Amino acid sequence: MYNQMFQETEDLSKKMNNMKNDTDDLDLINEEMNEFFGVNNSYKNDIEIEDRVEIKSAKEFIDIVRSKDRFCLISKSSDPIYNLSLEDYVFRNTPIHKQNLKAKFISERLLMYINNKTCVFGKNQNPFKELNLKSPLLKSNGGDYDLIRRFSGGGTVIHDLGNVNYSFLTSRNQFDKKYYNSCIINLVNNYILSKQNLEVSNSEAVPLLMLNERGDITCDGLKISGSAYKIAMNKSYHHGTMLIDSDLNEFSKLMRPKLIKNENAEEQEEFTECNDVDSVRAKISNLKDLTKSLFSDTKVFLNLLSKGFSSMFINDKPKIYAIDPAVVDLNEVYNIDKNDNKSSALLDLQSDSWAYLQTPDFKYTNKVSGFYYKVRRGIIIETNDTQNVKINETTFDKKFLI
Amino acid sequence: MFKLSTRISSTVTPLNLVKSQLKTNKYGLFSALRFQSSCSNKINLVNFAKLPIQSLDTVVYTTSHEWLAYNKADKIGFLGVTQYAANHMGDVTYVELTDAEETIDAGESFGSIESVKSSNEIYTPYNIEVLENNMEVLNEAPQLVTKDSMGEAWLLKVKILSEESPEEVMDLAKYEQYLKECDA
Repeated sequence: MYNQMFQETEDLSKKMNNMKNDTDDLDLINEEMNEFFGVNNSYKNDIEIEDRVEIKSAKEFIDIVRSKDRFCLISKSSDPIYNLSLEDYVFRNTPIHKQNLKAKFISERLLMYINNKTCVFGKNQNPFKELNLKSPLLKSNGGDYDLIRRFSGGGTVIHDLGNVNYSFLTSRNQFDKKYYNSCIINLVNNYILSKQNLEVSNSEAVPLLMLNERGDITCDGLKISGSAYKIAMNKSYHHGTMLIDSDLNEFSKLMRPKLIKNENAEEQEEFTECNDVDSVRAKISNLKDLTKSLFSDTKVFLNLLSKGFSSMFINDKPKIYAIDPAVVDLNEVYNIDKNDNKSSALLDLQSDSWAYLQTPDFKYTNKVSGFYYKVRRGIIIETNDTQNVKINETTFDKKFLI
Repeated sequence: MFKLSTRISSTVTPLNLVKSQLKTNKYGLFSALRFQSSCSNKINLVNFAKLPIQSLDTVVYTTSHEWLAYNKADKIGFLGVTQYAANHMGDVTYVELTDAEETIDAGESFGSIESVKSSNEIYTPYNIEVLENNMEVLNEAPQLVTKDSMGEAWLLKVKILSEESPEEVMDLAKYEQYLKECDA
C-alpha cells in the first residue's frame, strides 16, 4: 500500500506540473470527491487537502452530533428514508444552550445527501392534489419513485441522483430565510467566473445565479433549486435541492396538473373545503445545462459547498465527515441514544399514516363518477359513494380520483 | 469578453445586496423588527379585548416566543405565538393544532404554523389540557396569525394543570429585554 503510494507520487508530480495552469483548489477537491465515490482517479494520494473523516461507529456519530462542534456531514447513502431520518436526528440532537439563547450559536451544521428517485412533498400538503399518484413511475405502481412527506414546510420536489440536497442548520435566533441560498449563489458565481477567466477561449458567457423574491435560486430566469425550512426547539434548518443533472422530463410527469380537464377544457374534478399548502409551479432547469457543463455532475457542487462551508468561519473551522449507512445504522443509533426520546423518524417517514393521514382536511368531487368525499385526517367522513366507502373508516385512496 | 462583463453588471446589484445582507445579518434584516419591537412595546401585549374570556390576570412568555394568558384562580387561559414571532414568520398559510381533550406536557409541541415554506413548531410552557382550539377561525383565515397573533388568532384555550416549566418563563418586560439581546 505504502509502496504503491510512493510510486504513484512520482507520476503524480509530473502530471501535476502539466496540469498546473488549469488546476485550482476545486479541481483538487473534485479529485478527492472522485475518490470518495470510488470513481477512478489518477492522483489520489497527493490530494487529501481537506480531510474527510469517515465516521467509524454509531457511538462516534452520536458523540459528534451531541458535541458543540461545527461540522459538514456528507451522507454516502442514497436512501431517502435514511437521509431524511439522519437530517432529523442531527437537527433534534444538535445542542443549544437553552438558558442562554442570546449567546451566539456556534454549532452550525451542513448536511448533504443525494437521494434515489423520490417525490418529496411538504408537511402540510395534499399528495392527492400535488402528485400524479396513478403514474407508472411511482413505486406503488411498479416504477422507481418513492413517495415521502417531509417534516418541513413548502411544496413538492422530486429527487434523483442528479440532484444534490443540502441542509443548513443554525439557531432560531440566527435564522434568516435568504442567508444560506445567498451563500450558495456567491460560491457558484465565483466558481463560474474563475472558470471563465481561465478558459478565455470560451466565448459565450455562462449566466450567473440569482435569488428571487421567494428566496429561490434561479439562473437565466429558470428555477434550479427549491427550499423549505423548519423551526423547532430554538433551532432551525434550511434545506434545499440543487438540480444538477436530473431527469426533468420525468418530474413533469409526476407532478399533477392542478385539476384534470376533459377535451373541452371542462374541469372533471374539484378540491374544495381545503387550506393545504399549494406548490408554486415554476419552470425548472438543470445547472449542468445552464452552465455549459461547468457543473458537469453532482460532485462539483458537493465539493464547492463543503469547501464553502468551511470558508464561512474564521475560527473553529468545521470538520468534514462522511457517514456510511453500512457503518452507522440509524436503528442502532436510536437504540444506543436513550436521550433521544423521539426517535421515530425512521418509522414515521415510511408509514402510510404519515404520508396520507396527515393530509390537511379536504373535499374531493369526482365529476365523472358523480361522487364526492369529505376527508378528515385522511379518513372519509362524508360521501355519496356508499357502496365503496364505510364512513369514518375508509381512508381516502387514489382509486377515488379521476 | 464584452458579453461576460454585461452579464456581470446585470447581476451586480442583487449580488451586492445579498453580500451586504450577509455582512450586516446581525443588524440587517432583524433590526427592522427589533426597532418595531423596542419602539412600541405594545406589539407583544396580549390583546385581551379580542379573547373570548375577559377575566385573565396573568401573562407569561417563553423563549420560543409563545404567550400564555390565564386566570390565576381557575387556571383557564389562552395560548398563542407572540407578534414578534408572527412578524418573523411572514405570511401564515397553514395552522395545525392539537385537538380538544388532549393533554400536553410542559415544553412539548402543541402544533405547528406554516409560513412561506417554513414549518414552525409551537410549544406550551406548562402542562395543559386542551379545552378548545381555534381551528374553525384559523382554517378559514390563517393569515390572522400575521395580523393579530395576540388576540383574534389565539391558538388554544387551555386548562393549566401545573404552573411549572422546565424552562424559564418571562413577564413582558423580561421578554422584551430577551428580544433585544437576541437581536443584538
